[in-house]
Amino acid sequence: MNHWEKIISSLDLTLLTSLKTLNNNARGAYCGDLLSDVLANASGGDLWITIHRHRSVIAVASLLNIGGVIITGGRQPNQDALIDAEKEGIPLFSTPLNNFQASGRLYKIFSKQG
Amino acid sequence: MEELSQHILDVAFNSLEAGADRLEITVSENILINLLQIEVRDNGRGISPADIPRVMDPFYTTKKEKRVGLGIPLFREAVERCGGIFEIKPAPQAGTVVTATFPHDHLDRAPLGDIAGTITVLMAGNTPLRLIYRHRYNEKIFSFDTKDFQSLLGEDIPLRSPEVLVWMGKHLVENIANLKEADTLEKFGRTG
Ligand SMILES: Nc1ncnc2c1ncn2[C@@H]1O[C@H](COP(=O)(O)OP(=O)(O)OP(=O)(O)O)[C@@H](O)[C@H]1O
Ligand SMILES: [Mg+2]
Repeated sequence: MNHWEKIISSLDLTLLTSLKTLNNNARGAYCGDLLSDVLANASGGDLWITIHRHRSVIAVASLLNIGGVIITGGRQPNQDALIDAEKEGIPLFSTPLNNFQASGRLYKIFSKQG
Repeated sequence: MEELSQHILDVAFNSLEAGADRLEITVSENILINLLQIEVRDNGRGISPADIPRVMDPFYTTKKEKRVGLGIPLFREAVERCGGIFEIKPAPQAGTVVTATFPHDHLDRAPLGDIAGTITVLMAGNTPLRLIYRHRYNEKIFSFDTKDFQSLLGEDIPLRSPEVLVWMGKHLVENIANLKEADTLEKFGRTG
């Protein structure tokens, strides 16, 4: 399985943007729902795990060059967030898992890669 | 943002960036009807009615070096996740009024935090600024006007000198705490 296939199947992700947003591999991950904390602590290329579904998430993600946004708890993004994500080329996913479960599974994947 | 006072600072910086030299910040806490309202009113260049919806957009900014403008969208999000109301309106004469209204007791409402810090940071800036701060707590009110304060001190002492700022910070902290003192926790529940 390639990089994205592994992540998508392990976290039970649904990709909501187009396939062409999956250009680059993710390098790590950060979990947070306080946007100012994410702004201060996430790094470019990270997957960002959050409960938020509004478009400010996409603005923060684009500012940081986030590798992808994962919305947890089965929540669906607002329509304008989805449009922005497509425009910015940021893959946007949803998962039925919660923040803890999603982080745990990603941690396994990224720690194996070393 | 962990504190509402950080959002207030962001919005007040917008006012200064819009050329304001008069800023009125009002915090009203009314526990009896469960409301916390923050109002920032400036006399800056204003926002045209057509641009008001656009400034709410995180991808809108008039800063040349930026692609996103987050001050307003983040404040708005902090209000709306509590089911509150966020508004931007032109001020009657000139300038802008930003109002954020929260249910006081909402679990996701950030605490007010270090208001005194916000006010002293604003006063420490280089541009001359008349700043009026009001804090209402139920029927009581505390208000502070840098103009009164300047005439008390005399024109020779700049308000932004470190000693004055330290004193100002203490004065604000004490007076805001005094407002809440008489109303016991048992009576009203959450404060701050
Ligand atoms: N009080 C105000 N008076 C006039 N224009 C304002 C005012 N507040 C905001 N604006 C306009 O709205 C735009 C968006 O403001 P916002 O705070 O969201 O982002 P920003 O200030 O551009 O960037 P950031 O806050 O991220 O540094 C500003 O660039 C400015 O043009
Ligand atoms: Mg701003």
